[in-house]
Amino acid sequence: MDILANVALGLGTALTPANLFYSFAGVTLGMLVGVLPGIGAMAAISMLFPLTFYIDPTSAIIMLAGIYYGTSYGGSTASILLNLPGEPSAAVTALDGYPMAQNGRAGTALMITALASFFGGSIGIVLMMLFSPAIAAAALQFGAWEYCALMILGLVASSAISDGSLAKSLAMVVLGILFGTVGIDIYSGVYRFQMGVPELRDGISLVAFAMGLFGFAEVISSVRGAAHGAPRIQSVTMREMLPTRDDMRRFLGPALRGTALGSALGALPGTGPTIASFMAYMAEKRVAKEPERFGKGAIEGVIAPESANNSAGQTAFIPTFALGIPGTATMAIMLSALMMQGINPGPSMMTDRPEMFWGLVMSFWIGNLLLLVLNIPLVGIWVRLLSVPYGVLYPAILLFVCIGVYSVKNSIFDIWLALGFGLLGYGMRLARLPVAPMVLGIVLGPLLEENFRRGMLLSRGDIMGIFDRPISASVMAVSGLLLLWGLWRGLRDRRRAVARAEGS
Amino acid sequence: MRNMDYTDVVAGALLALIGIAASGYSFAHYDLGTLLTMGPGMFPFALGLILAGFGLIIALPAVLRSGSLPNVEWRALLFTFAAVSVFALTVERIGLIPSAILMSVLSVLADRRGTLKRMAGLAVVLPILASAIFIYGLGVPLDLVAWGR
Repeated sequence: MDILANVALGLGTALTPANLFYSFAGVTLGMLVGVLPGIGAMAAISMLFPLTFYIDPTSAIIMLAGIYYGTSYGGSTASILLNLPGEPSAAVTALDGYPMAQNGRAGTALMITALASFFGGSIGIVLMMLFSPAIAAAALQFGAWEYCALMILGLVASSAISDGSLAKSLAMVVLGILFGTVGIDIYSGVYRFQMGVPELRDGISLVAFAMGLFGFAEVISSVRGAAHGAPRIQSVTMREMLPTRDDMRRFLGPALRGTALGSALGALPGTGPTIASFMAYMAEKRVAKEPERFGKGAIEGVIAPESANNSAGQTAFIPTFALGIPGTATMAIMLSALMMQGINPGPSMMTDRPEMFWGLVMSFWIGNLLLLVLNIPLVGIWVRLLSVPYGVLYPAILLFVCIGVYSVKNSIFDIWLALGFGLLGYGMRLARLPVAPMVLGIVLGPLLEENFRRGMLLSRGDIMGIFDRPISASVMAVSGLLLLWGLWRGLRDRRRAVARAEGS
Repeated sequence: MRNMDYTDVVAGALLALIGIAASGYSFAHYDLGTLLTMGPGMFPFALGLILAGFGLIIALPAVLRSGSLPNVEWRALLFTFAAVSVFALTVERIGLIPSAILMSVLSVLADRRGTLKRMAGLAVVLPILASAIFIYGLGVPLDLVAWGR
């Protein structure tokens, strides 16, 4: 079958020495930033973004992807050992992972995390291999309205499912799209919101945008809170890492359930690893025979979210590459890295650039295997890394972000732009306005506008045209349901808060 | 606790203002076109109105709700701002090494617990690291040192 031919083609690309090196570099860096709290996947990917101009696009995307899924492996280490999640997607792991460490089972928790991550990641990759071609083939028939509807679904889902106020998330989506309109209008050639600044002709630099929001803003809000000096961390030996037979008996169920939830949520535009890990934990607690063990070091509470966030991390590539619609903010940045190289992700990528697509998929296998190796025997190194104080790290982050932003177009203006977005991002943090929907908005905005205007032309200025076609109509219906669910959830939470306030 | 959730009132009001400004600017400067053939102004005009709507939805209920003010890390904010600004102002004029030294010093000040030892160490290590990675490794066209330009 041609899947075998594709696998062979992919292996041929992924196993070249250069690509092996970039895969290794990517996952190692991912592990590193995942382990270190206060610097996340977004900041790391946008910081290394400029690097991709200097290397082959396939190698570049292999490395960026490695950073992305590497962080979900690394993020759990700090969660388990310090109760400080290195990544948002690993926050849930701390709930049971940290109590396990306190009970002297840190080694087992780390080992089981690596195994669960590998399990979830592997199944996610298999799903990606099986479904992406079919989805891409179907997507070749999609017209402007279908794309429009899918993008609306992604934007709505990212707002409805994130925690916090629905109005705030949606406002951030709209603000993001608005930022996306800056620059030349492709239909009329008019420069919009350029304000006499020549650098804004091509729009707001996404690197400056992301680095300001995730680099500068993150530093400003972490400097004070971060623990200083070396925290006390127990050393972990290989012997302690071996799970007991009881642990292994408990492994399969939570891993399968976590993976199933994670894969589904990852493939949906707008939802990603963080939500997947939360939902998997809640689900596991619900099906558990002894739910009271959760929060006190239940190993299932580590297995389920870790397999969920890694499978979601892999299946998130399905909409990104098969449809060209990124599901999460991080995917949005990866997508724009590809577009800057002149590659348009989307249904035609699999036929136009099969070596790139399948090479990337095969590099996931290599990367996941590397991560397993990096995790288990080398755990001591990662544990020691946790004792690097943030006070030494953040000046380096600031400097590298500055040079990184500058180097994209050798433009000082972009540093100022990033600084502006850093201040905006810090203000948004203070006001509890979520950043991720805004990033999705700025990336999807121009695509949304283009398809919306084309759709309006096709249906003669009738906005209801989006409901005339079966696929776009059903996708819009799903978006509508998600919105209602988000509204209902918001009302329920408010009622509970009021009840609690009155009860106390 | 304050008798009004000032954070959300201010955030919502600012969002509403940005929305109105974007709509107004689009209306005044760009062709809106018709729904069939939309001009460059239509999309941002509509987005601005929607944003203003959400801003009001955030701000209005917050007026009736009590809330607490967030803690602003003024020191971190100020020195991060200063460090990045100084870098942006100087790097093309005096070169990467001196600019990175200035930046290291200023950014260590952002942390109340930063020590002189740390400042000195970073001021030596960071410029070397940055030059090695970005100038020698990636060929970013910046001078190492460029006095008097």
